[in-house]
Parts: sequence; structure tokens; C-alpha cells
Amino acid sequence: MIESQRHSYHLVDPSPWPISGSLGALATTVGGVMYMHSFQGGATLLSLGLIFILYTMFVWWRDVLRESTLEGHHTKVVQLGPRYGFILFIVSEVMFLFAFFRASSHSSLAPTVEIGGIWPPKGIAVLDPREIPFLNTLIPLSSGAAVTWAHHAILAGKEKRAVYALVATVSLALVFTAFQGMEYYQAPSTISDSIYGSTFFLATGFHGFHVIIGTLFSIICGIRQYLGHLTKEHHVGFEAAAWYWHFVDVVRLFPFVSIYWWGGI
Amino acid sequence: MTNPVRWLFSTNHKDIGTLYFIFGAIAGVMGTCFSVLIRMELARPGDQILGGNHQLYNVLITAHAFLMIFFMVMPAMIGGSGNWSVPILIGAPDMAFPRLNNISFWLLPPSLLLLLSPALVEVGSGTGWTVYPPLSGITSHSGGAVDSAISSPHLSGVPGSLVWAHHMFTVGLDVDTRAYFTAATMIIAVPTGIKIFSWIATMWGGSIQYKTPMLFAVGSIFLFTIGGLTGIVPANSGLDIALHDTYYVVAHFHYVLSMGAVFALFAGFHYWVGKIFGRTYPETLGQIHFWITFFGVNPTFFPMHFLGLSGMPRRIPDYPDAYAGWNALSSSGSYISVVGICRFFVVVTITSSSGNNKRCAPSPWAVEQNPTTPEWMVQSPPAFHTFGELPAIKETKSSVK
Repeated sequence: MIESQRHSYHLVDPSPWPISGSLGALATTVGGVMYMHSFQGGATLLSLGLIFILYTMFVWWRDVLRESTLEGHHTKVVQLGPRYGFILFIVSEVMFLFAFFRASSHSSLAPTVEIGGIWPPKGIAVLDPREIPFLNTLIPLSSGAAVTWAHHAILAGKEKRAVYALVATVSLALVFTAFQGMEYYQAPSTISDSIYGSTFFLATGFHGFHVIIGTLFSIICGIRQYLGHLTKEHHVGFEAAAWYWHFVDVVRLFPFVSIYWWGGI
Repeated sequence: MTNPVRWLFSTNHKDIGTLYFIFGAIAGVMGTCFSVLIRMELARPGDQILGGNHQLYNVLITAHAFLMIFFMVMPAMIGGSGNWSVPILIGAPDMAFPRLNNISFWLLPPSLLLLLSPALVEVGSGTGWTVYPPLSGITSHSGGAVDSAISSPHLSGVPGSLVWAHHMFTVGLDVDTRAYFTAATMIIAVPTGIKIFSWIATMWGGSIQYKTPMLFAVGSIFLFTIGGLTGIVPANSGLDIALHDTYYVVAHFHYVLSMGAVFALFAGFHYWVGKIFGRTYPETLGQIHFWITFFGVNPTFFPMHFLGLSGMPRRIPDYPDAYAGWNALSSSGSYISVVGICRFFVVVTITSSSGNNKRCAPSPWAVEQNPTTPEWMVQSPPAFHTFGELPAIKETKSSVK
């Protein structure tokens, strides 16, 4: 747009996706309220809104990738933006998940009379932490090792090996999610079974949701690695995915130690 | 670039800042309308304009609070002033992540819609801005109105703070928690005091011209200080037992916000309006706007201290006759403020529609020195992209003698 740009920053072209995303958010929230109060068409509006948001995310990020890979706008200084931004995003995610673990600790460290003065609450059957929960802690940690393998492969310029490493990362992630789903399916309690059920499913559920996000992020990186988007010198998207993945696997230790293990004794 | 593309799909910090200002102005007018309805109901004891519909009164209170804070002050200050000035002041070509900058604005209109539409759904959202249960729960508000009102700030985003529980001194917190939040709330008076002294020290030795921006700036410091001092009193959780939910609190935070913050906004607006519009504002009308506003807001809010100290509760649409005098004065003050707001829009209209003879110089406030910050070195208004190349900012010889 500008005739002669004599700086290394990226002036982004006008984009329809912000306003389309906000319309999607409007449809989602209005649809959500209508659905929760059994208005006709609420579920349809909610689904349409969510689809609209997902579509917006897809095309928005597609544009970012094109600006980086095809148009070459992501200079060294532009790359700093997503790096700092992503670190701040992970910091905010840590705070978000901390609130749920703290809620669990708040209720378990000094159990009230309403739940029998004990933790787990009277009448609540808990899972054995040495079975699936322990395995499902080792799996994301191994997956974290695999993503580090992918990182070293990218830095060494071994493109094929990086793809294999990302396939390993994603496969382990999918196994984790499958086990987590199985655990929920067979769980002896539900989210409405006392403060134990509420905090257990909220904390582990949000962790699982973050695993799914990280899995999608890693899949995208795998595809981009396969297509040759990522180079030795420039692979910010992969770095962000790896940071995110390490955040998710380290966070898994908290529900394992404090909710499944200590909280199940 | 066509106009719809420029304004709907913008990735330009100045255009997005302008959108925020327009949005803030619209929300401000709406919030003012609600406040006048509130003051009309409270002008005299007994039911006045709402026909005894006390739920509707609470809906008005809630909408007024949300509109003024989340849709006027925050968008205008952070979104409008921040977007316009920060990139230019630091010599940056634009904001980082311009699309996120734009979605941040475009989430506001849906958010506003979610806030206002519940008024049309069943009984509306008469919960106060905190939306605390049990009043916001299913037994008191069975319809979708509260869900919609709660979704509203989730779209626009709300920051937290270290002193939040000072709103909750009377809910039954244990004494240690109240001790911490009392101490934390009182301690923030120290940096606030330092801030006020540094504002005053900034004026010291300056060549002060009492034009509209300076009047608003000095007014802002003065009124914000009153609001700050009256805030230290209920910061003490023991005293707050008596003052909580009375008009004393209402008076306190209106001095901080509708005078401290809004006067600062007006100060900034008049200071930079020439830069934004490229046209000089009418000085006399600006000063008239200041004095009308000053003599509107003070009679509105100062008597509320007396009402609160004598026990008048907030968020209640009726009161004993003993409170009639100060309430009548307060309502008259709010009508004067409306006249002030109208003057402001007269100033905006004249400034934005004036011709070449009112063209604003690059540095309209400079007396003798050269401009010291980059916004005064570029044309008024600045180019669509202010800097085609990065300005080199260097320390030069000090001009202080």
C-alpha cells in the first residue's frame, strides 16, 4: 500500500476476519443464551456461530501463513511480536489453570462439614492414580520429548526426520486424549457429584481441552513441516507450538500429583 | 481503498482509534440518558417517572454503570487515545497485531448489544454491575437477560486487581481477609498521592495557558483528588460497614470516574483534537463547555456525600422526605451536565466541519521551543501511515536553563 516503506515492520492489509469473528461471537453468545433457556432455534444459532468462528480462525491464520511464507513479511523484528505475544498468552493460560487447581486445594485442604470433613468427600469413589492417570502423565511427557526431537531435527535441517518426530508427538497426544476419554467414560463420579466432581472434571477437563488445542497446533506444524514451510532459521510457528506443548505436559503434573494422587489418598 | 473496506476491515491504528472514539461517544450519550432517567426518578421522594417499577430502576442503574465504564471510559481512553497516540509517540509505523487490534474494537458493538437487549427480555438485568448471586441467580432473574448481560463483558474483557475484595467488606469475609484488603486499599493511596504531586510538580515552572485542555486537566486533578481522599475513608473495612451501599460510595467513585477520568478525557480530547481533525477547535465554546460541566457535576455529586453519611442507600428508587433537599439539588446538577454534554458535541461538530481557515498547525501549542514529542513534528492530521521510515529519536542539548 505504501509506496516506499523504509522500515522492516509489517503493515498488514485491511482484513475482513476481525469483524467476521466478532459477528460469530455475537451469534455464539446469543445462540448460547437462547439454547440454555430453550428458545426455538437457539441450538442452530449457537452451532452456526461456532462454525463461523472456526471458519474465521482458519482463514485468518491462513492469511498469516501466506504473509509469512509467500510474501515474506515476517522479518526478524516482526518475528519478535508473535514470540512475546505467545509467551504472554501462555502466562495467562497458567493463571487460568492455576485457578482450578487452587479451587481444588481450597476444598481439599480444609474439607467442610457438608462433605463429611474428609477428602475425597464422603461417598465419593475415586480413581486409582497408579492406573490410567499415571500412564496418562507419562504419555504427554514422552510426547514433550518427541517435540524436542522435532525441534533438534528442524535446527539440524533434517526435514524428513522432523516430520516423523511430529507424527510421534501427535500420535502420543491422540493416545492421551483417547485414554482421558475412556477414563471419563468409566469414572465412578460425574461433574455434579460434590465439590470433588466439580473441581476434578473442571481441572482435568480444561487440561484435556488444552491438550486438544496443542494437538491441533502440532498437526498444523507437521503439515507445514511436510510442505517445507519451516526452515532452520525461521520456524516461529513451530517454536510456539513446542512451547505450548511443554506448557501442557508440565501442567499435567499438577492434576496428577494434587488431584489424582494426593487428593485420592 | 473504498470506505467500507477502510472502516470495517481496518488495520490502521488511527482509524481504529477513531472508531473507538465514535463508539465511546455513542455509549457516553446512552449512559448519560440512563443517568438522567435515574436522577429524574430521584428528583423528588415517591414514584416519579418509572410508575413504581423498581426492577426497571435497577435495570437502568446496571445499564448506566456498564455503559459508562466498559463502553465509554475504557474504549475512549485505552482504545481511542491509546491507539491514536502510542504508535506516533514511540515512532512506530503502526500497532503490532493490527487485526487483533481491530477485532478488539469490533467485539464491542456485539457486547453492547448483549448488554442492552436484555432490557427487552422479560424483566431485564437489575443486578447492579457486579451481577452477584443470589440476585443474579435463577430464583430472582429467571429469564435469559442476566446470561446475556454476563456474556457482554466476556466479549469485551475485564481486568482484575489486587484490591478487588474492598467491594466485599460486608459479605462476611473473615477478619484476616478484610485486614489484608483494608491495608492493600489504603496503601494504594500512597502511589496515588505521589501521582497527584507529580502532576502538580509538572505544572511547576511551566508556561501555563488556561485554555480548555489545561482547565480540564487542572479540574481533573482537583476532582480526582477529592474522589481519592473520600475513598480512603471506606477503604477501612470497619467504617465501610456503615458506608457500604450508601450514596457516600456513589459520590466517591463518581468523583474519581465521572470527574477524574472524564475530565482527563476531555482534556486530552481538546489537546489533541487539532492533531486528529486537522482543524482548530473553538476556544471560547470549549471553555464554556468546561465551566458548564464543572458547575453541573459538582452539584450533582457533592451532595451525595451528605446523603450517604446520613444513611441513604444506593440502588433504591425511593427515599424518606428528609433526603429531598440534597436529591433535588443533585438532580438539577445532572440536568446542567446534560447541557454541558450538548455544548461538547457543538464543539465537535464545529471543529470537524470547519474549513481551511481553521487548519491546525503541526505544533499548535508550541510557544517558543521546538516540539519535544513526535506527534507535533508531523502534519495535522498525520498521514495514513505516519512514518514511512523510522524516526531517529536522540537526546539533544537540554533546553532547561
